[in-house]
Amino acid sequence: MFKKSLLTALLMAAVSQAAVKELIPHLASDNLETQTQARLELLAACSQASAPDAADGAREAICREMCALLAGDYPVVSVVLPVLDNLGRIAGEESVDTLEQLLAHPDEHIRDAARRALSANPSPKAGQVLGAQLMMRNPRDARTTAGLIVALGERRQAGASKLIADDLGSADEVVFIAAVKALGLLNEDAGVRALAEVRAKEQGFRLAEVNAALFSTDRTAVFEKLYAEKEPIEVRAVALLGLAMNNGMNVAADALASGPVALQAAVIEAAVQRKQPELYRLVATRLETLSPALQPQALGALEFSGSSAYAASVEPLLKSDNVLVQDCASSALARIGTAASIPALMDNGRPEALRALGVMNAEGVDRALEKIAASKDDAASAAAIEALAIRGRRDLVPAFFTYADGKGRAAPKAAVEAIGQVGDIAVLEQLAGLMMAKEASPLSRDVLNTIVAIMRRSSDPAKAVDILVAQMSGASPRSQANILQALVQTGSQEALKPLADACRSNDESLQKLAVKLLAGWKSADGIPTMLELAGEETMSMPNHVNLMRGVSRLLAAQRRVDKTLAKQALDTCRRAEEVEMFQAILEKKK
Amino acid sequence: MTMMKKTDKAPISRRNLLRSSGVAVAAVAAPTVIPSSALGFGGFTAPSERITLGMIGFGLMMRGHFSRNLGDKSVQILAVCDVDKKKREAARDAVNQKYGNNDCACYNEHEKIMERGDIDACFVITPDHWHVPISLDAIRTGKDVYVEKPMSLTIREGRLLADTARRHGAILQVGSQQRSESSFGKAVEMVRNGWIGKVHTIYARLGRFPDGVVLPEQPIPEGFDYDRWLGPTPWFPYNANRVKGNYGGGWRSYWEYGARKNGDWGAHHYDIIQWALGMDHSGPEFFFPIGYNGSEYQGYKYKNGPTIYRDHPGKFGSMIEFYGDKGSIGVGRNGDLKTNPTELKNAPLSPSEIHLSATESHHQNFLDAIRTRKRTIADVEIGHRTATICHLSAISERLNRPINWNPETEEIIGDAEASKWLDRPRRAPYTL
Repeated sequence: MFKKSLLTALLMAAVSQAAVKELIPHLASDNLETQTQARLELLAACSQASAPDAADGAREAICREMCALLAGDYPVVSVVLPVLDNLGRIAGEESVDTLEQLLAHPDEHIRDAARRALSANPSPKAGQVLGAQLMMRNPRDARTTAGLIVALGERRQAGASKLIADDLGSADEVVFIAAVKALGLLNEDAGVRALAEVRAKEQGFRLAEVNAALFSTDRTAVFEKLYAEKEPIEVRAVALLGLAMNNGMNVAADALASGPVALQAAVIEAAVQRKQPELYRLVATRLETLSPALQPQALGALEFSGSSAYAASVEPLLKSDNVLVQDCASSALARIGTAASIPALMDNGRPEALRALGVMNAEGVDRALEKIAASKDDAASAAAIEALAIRGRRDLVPAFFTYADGKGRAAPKAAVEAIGQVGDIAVLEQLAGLMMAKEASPLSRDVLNTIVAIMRRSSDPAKAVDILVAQMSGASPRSQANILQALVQTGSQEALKPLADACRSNDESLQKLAVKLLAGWKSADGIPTMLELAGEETMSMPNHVNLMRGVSRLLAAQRRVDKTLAKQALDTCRRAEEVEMFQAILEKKK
Repeated sequence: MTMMKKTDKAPISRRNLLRSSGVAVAAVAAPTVIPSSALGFGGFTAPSERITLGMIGFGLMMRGHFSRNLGDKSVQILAVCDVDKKKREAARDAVNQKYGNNDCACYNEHEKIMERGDIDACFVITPDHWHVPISLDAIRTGKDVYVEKPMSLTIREGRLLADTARRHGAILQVGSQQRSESSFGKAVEMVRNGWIGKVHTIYARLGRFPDGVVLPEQPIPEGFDYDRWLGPTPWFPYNANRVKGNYGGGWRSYWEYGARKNGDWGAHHYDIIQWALGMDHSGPEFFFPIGYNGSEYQGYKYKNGPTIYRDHPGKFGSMIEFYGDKGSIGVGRNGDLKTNPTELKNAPLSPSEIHLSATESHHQNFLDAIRTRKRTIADVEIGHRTATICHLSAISERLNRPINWNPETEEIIGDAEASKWLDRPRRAPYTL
């Protein structure tokens, strides 16, 4: 067994040696593409050697080979640094001596790359080397010192706090910050004490970093110390959050009851993070007494709780003087409200309240809303209809048609919009009928918009157009005009044919309207139809002019003018002014 | 029990409320700029109600954020920061011109913004390798953060940022703004509510960057702080293409500064997939490269859940395509939403189904969250979990082998070398 392992290691060493050595000329090549490829191959070789299924000893062998190369005199940027980078990924104890030597290299980039490789090296010896380097009193720049400190911190090198604590007294900012962060990471008693002591001497950004390092230890004793009344309020707030997260219920209750607001905010945040019923209850109990500036946060916490037990506490805030608070209350009730919340939400009536009614998942809500929708209170009925539409009540479409045909203005309008929200092309025929029946009423405009909305999202636009066109025969000119407008607003290719047919209508007023609508067509796919009609001898001069103006508008809007269409347009002109107009467009687009 | 003196409630201003759950540095005496237009005239919001901003990193991505914030009367930009003197001075001048004064501060070092007690929030729009270090400094000094996607450079630093944001009660929005586009929201609701049945396969279209090639050394332009641009990443000789902000390459091509396409577009599409699968606080368990078991595509798989294939052509031609045992959905930007059956997308949700928090503006959602202290739609934990998928996909691609992941402990299973990629040793003196 031993022999087999030894053989494998030797074999792998030979392979990696060959592989890495062969790469050196490529890594050092003047050709940058060759260099790039060589770096990728070195990475691949290292990756294979350290893969879970690699042969025993393969990783160590390639690392030894790379260490041997580092003893040579190779270019820094193209060879040494890429090799060090790979050692940083896969090196173990076998590489520590080499990396240690490179910590004294004259090139600063090599020194730092070696330090990084040691900081990621799993061998305990690597940590010892970094610690020993830090202890050496030889002169070195602040960056190097900071790098060694951070490396020890990130390695969580046991006992390193004592080595680092003195650097809290450094006048150099980078050393000081490195020491602060490393001591926070190490989280050892000696380091935490040192951080606590240095606070008195610091201010501004440096103090904020010390505080953050202390907080990062998650020690209750730290939170208690920084919660002292002499501390600035913003420090106390974070400390209180820490205490509340660590079972400091009594402290949290006191703070929520008495303020100041920063501390109350911390308790509410703790409620969200802990998801603890006691904390939620605390927030619900104090909700009305909190400042309006804080109530949105508290309402957010109760919403996050998902518990309907707090709905009754939330409802009064729908009457707050502050609309942000009102909307946050609605948002909370959307998640935790009950049927009992409906009157308060209906009274509020803001869009957020209606959305809440629309999504509230509680027993009895649908029934209650249906009852209000059927009531004679126009405004209340409208609100309930809107909420029922948000609730996706397709089964209520027949009822919505009834409401749409009813008295009042708000409820019928809401009913039509509700149909638009939940209906599909199956209701188009009935909608067209409604539009015709209400053609003299402002409601017809609402129906028109609803028809357009349904047609636009339909996956079968041709069928939708057919349904509408079928309604035109026998309809009054006004209704025909409405249907044409609906067709045009969809902008669908399918709508062009019936529109063109109307442009040829014997009914002069219908024809005039159709031409006007077609001339306002929004996309270039309408140009051929417009030219065809404009070229017909039976087309009156005003209609011809209208259509040609539409063509010129669409051609002018094209990034690159369609030359075939432009020529066709020129051929269709009846007047010299038209020719000039198209030529001007073509000239401008050249 | 710690005894507390009962104190009267402190006078409330929005700013001290914003400070309430963050560690703010001692208030700096720098007055907020108050041009006459800000005193309620000319339709401006009173300064005390504005959210004050520090904007960091003036590359391509900043353009939209900058113009949006500059045109928003509910916010005020107090400081700009970039390692390129030309860029930061141009930004400062644009702010001053807009506000009609000369008060916008202009910094090379982001720490100068952190020292200011009058700034409520920071926009961190730098290359990926600076996202977490700057966001951490902002949160530690009591500021809220909007940070571009992917949120982190490594999984470990993402976890650190998520924990720090919670510890300090900070608001953080990750710039994965597809969460605020209605077509994605609708697609996610359909998947979450089981409208296409059990989802077994998902395609995500990311595209590819060219390889990050070795570049010749060039002189560092005057006024460009290259050392700070590199920050915690390994040193390389300067070349303009290395630091270039370019959607088709530039720094995005290099592993040193991100997760390449897995990070750049994965941060958008993988994020939507996480959302759709209800995995915002967890993640997949297995990642594989091209060639694994003969696969022509890179991908990953959720435990007892779907397999995601990167760049696999789909039947809708959409950015993301979900395939379930009862139907399928294709979704993309600019309202692209297709379903099979076709009418599925028009069906309304019932109250008993999952409704996602609708938001149409990612910026507004962030600003609203600053005011209400509610979680953003792309909160820090969500951003961390999405970035984790980006990074694990990149690691799998880089090492060309499959990765087993435990999303609960956030550890790679059985691969010591791959585990080292969970973090990257930082160049001195840069720290987290």
